[in-house]
Amino acid sequence: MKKSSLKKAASCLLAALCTGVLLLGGCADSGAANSGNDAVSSAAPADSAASVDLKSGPQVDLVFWHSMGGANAAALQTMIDEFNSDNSGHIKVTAQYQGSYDDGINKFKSAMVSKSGPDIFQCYELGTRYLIDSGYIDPMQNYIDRDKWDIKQIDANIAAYYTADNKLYSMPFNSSTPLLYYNKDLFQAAGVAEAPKSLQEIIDIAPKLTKKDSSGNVTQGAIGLWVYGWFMDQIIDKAKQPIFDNGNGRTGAPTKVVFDSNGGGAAFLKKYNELVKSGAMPAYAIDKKNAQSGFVNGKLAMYTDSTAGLASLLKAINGKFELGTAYFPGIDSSSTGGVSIGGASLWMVKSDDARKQAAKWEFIKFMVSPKQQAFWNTKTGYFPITTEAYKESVFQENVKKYPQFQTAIDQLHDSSPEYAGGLCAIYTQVRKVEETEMQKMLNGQQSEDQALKNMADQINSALKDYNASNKK
Amino acid sequence: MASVRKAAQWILTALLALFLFFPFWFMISMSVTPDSDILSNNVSLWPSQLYFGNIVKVLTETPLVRQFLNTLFVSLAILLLQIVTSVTAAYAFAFLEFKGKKTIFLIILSTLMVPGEVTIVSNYLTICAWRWLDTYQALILPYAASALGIFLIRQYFLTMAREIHEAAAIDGCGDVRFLTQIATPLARPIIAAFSVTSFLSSWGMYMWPLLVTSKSEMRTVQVGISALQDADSALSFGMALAGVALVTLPSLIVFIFGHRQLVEGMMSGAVKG
Repeated sequence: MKKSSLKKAASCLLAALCTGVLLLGGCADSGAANSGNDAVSSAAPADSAASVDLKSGPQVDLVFWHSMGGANAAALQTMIDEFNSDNSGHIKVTAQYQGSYDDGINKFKSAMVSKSGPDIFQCYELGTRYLIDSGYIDPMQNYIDRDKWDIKQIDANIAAYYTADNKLYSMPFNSSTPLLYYNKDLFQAAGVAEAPKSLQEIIDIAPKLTKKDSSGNVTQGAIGLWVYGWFMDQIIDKAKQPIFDNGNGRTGAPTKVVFDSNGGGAAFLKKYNELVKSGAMPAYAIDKKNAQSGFVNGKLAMYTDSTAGLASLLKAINGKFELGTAYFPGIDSSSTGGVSIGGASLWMVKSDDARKQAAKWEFIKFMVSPKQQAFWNTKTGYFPITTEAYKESVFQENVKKYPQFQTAIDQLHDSSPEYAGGLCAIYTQVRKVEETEMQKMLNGQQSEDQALKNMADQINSALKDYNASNKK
Repeated sequence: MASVRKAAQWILTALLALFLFFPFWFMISMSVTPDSDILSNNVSLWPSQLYFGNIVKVLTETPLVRQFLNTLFVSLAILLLQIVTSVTAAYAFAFLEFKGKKTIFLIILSTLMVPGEVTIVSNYLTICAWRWLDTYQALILPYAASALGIFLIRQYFLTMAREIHEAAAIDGCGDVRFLTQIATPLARPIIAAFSVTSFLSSWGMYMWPLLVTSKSEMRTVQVGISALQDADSALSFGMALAGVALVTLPSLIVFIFGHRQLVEGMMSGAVKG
């Protein structure tokens, strides 16, 4: 997950550069719309999707940009190969890897300015607001309505994330939620029967799960809740507080953060800092890699990570202890909200070629069909986004093999669409700010209040800059 | 006393070498370790077993071989073009007199202060407009000239005695002949030194190839190895490290055979030959 620092620096740079392109993009945007070059005149192909005949005429070639590497890329390719052979002679999809999610969206931004972008684009959840605002995208809802495709097939809590103004903008594809992983053996040894539900409970049971050697050094810590902006947003979400104004960025582009004034941010940061100060979380665990290896080595009783990390965790633990999964913790007992999802979705790029659009829709429908989603889930550990996939035998066998995954499904279903989380066009930057300030706070360089104020100030000024340069 | 100092120096150097060698060794060791052992806790300095599956998988299941050749071709082409452009430009700046020579040289020098990434977006738009995406020329041509090369070689030419040039001119040796038969051979150490730096930097390019290529068969290795790992979960360390180890090889070879030139070029100053 974490790439080398060099690459990280490179993608940071690219991100910075592309903020420049964004400005360009903003200008070119209106130009493209005027020339009508790439933009669909919204009225024209009203029900053309249904009437387009893909079986006759030349083959439609589609380019699909994605960020899946390693084993996930292989699974993706298997699915695409099957689609291509099913539609042989009519539609051909070519998958092209575009680096990390950050690299992918940055390349997309500059490619669209020069109209050399893909037909279908896999983008992480943080890019949602940007893509909605960009004008490069044909909302998925148009095709769902035209085709009378039953939107209820999609898990409502997953669909909620990609829905703004009551429109589903992109098709969820690979989704995950955060989970609390725990070492059942250590819990049993300490006499703790149940996994904690909140940071407060974690602090309360931490002394039982902490071990020290004769000289007072901690040899076993309670939890590795490493510094990650996603966790912060999830915990504020569980506290039922929004991150941004304008309906958490869903009714319109956000203009400022509200977690500094609604108490959500303050409550979280206070508890988080207490987690470290009380000794429940060792200082080394603020880094993901350290927390992960600490947990795998039995030096931490609990660890938080995405559901997508389940398979690799099991592989790493390799039977040394029994792995338990529990809901992602809230702040205290008043945090009764749900979790939102992370991951990525499939976006349909605008085009005035009705055949092309119809072919893209066919491809996307295929990718989220129950059979494909069950396959995808077993190969990757992402949720099946269609509920029908739960009935597939491949899926059921997999859950039998990894009962830990059931917790993830239950947690998702116990959530509700109102906890879909915020949307923001500069979310990557927001996360970076959150992480830097949290780190400084946990290192004792600043107080919770300072951290909160610094976060809000930096994010607000970045939002102001973005909105000023992207006025419609 | 001297021997004690010498011993201390040796020990210090050896320690430093060990320190620098460690990550490299670790990479090699992990690239022949199966994933299940890498992910286990008993990570040791020695591979638990000699397992070549990672390397075989990288060579057969990924387009890394093709990408390796792409990168080799691109790096060598860039190197060749940079040498030609740098030597000719440096010659003009060192030996010829023309109007605005100083200003032009300063403009070229000032581009050294601008990080290359600043121009990446405008370059990308140009390449797009020319429909050059996914081509070798898109990877090579933006790097055909190097301000650093011009500067280095010019400085070297300046250290050569003017008398050589004057003597040659009196004997009726023209500029082209002087450049190809006298100046360039004399500048060989600095050209070699520059070649090493140039090759290493184009071998390591990431952002530009990522932007201008999309087809995996046109990609360079640096982009290729990042595809061995996934964005959300890191499952296949062994394969990724095997890929990285293979990709590091050329740089290593260039360095082993070129470090003498690299050092010599930087050290040599006065008139030679």
